[in-house]
Amino acid sequence: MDSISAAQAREMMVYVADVIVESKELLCEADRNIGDGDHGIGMAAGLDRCREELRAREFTDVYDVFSTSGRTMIRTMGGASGIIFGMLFYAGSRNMPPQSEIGVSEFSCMFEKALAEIQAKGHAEVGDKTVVDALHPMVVSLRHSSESALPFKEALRRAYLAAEEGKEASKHYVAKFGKTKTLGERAIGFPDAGAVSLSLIAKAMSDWAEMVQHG
Amino acid sequence: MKKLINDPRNVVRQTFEGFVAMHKGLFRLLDEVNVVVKSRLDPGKVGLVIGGGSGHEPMFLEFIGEGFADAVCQGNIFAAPPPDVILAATKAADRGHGVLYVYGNYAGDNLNFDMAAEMAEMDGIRTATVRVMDDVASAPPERATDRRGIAGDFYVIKIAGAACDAGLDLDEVRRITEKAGNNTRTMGVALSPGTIPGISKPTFELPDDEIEIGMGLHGEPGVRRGPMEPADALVDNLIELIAADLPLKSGDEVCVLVNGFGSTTRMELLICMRRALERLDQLGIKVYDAQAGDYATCQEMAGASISLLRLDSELRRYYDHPAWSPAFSTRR
Repeated sequence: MDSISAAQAREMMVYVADVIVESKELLCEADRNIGDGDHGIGMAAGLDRCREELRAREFTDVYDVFSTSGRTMIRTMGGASGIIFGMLFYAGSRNMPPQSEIGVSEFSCMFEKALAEIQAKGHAEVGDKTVVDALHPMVVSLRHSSESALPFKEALRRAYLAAEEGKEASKHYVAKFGKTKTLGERAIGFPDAGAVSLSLIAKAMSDWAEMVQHG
Repeated sequence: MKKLINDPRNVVRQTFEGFVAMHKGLFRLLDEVNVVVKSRLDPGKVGLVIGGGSGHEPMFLEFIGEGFADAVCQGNIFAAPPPDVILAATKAADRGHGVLYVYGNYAGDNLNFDMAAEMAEMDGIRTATVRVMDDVASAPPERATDRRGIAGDFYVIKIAGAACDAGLDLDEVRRITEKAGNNTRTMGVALSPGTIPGISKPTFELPDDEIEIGMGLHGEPGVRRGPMEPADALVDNLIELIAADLPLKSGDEVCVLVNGFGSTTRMELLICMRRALERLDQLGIKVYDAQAGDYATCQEMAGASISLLRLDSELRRYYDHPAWSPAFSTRR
């Protein structure tokens, strides 16, 4: 698999939504350790709405799938995660010329733009205990896969491993943003809930590619 | 936790519906978004939009009215409203003279209100923003812009509403509102946690015989955990922390708010008020006005906060400006 079509992108995003909706409790728990415990509620509700929008019609443009997903999350979720996770899909797909399929290179570009937008809005760097801890290594990995011309499935697998590693690393950080900020050293040992979500999203995309390959 | 709710997914909408229905005709609820707007908006004035996460009622919902907010928008429990919801409130409140946003300084609120402001600008509506950062416990003075907004929201909203009602332009309304924010400080003490509707676990854990000074309205950790103490000792501690931070000096004049977090009895609030006034008097601080009640809550969380607004002649004038909202009205 060297590219994904609009129909496949939709299938992948619906699968991502399924996984996040099922992980609601896990995400709340991750947030409760060092925050207010509602991260899973917002994420599950947002991706549930996103899934509805994606199922409501057919898509011929891959970017339309991602921008519809992201815009729906921004419009319906609220909270910091509404903007951040909405922008994850929306920042790199809005106003793009329609494409019936995209390769790893375009996919990588999309997340590179997302990272830039999220950092511009939130001013977070790696090590601040935010979603950036997992997103930054994921983007680096995707860029590398694109440069090495790796197939989609392998690029997604490596992107997930990079995001997962970044999420694990976030355990060692003291938070600089959000409601966890005031915890100081007490936050050490727990991953950032946003990084947990991002790692789950990356895993779902990779698992989806695995299933397509074998299915 | 037992709660008088229906489907947890509908709590915010049903709260708004109850509020609007109760105040027959005074306010209207927008379709599909959790926004209430005053039914009658005086022309020629800057609009005031306030909002934030739900679950802190009467904040923000019930601080709408004459000399208060023109529109209120709320997100889910403890979550900022999405930009589209804020934009709907902005459009409803705008009368061609721009809109002031007043909200608590949280990452989620900042992101969503900023995006709404960009969208409003594209629609030709000018906005200005004042973020409330009164919570002394949430960051040291050198990082005051990292501080959260809690019960002190009330004072900043009161002054903003008065400035809008007085017919000032957007820049002037923002200047006065910022001044109110710069002179507002809050410190709280938490006794026991609240719970989010539909979630069984409380937002934090605190042993029965312990308190936490400075805990946030969502259970964010505070500055000190310690054994339970008599009300007077705790109130003295809170006043001391606020006075050192402002800093207050003998002869200053303040308004005092003793705010309950949700399940604190009025009896306790008045006992705290008694000591707060006594202590301020000892420090030579003049009290211009004092209020006790539930202003910014966190579900059934127990505990209280003390907020002080330091006045000068300008802020006193806007504080005195006649105002009415379901949650607060000026004395006749």
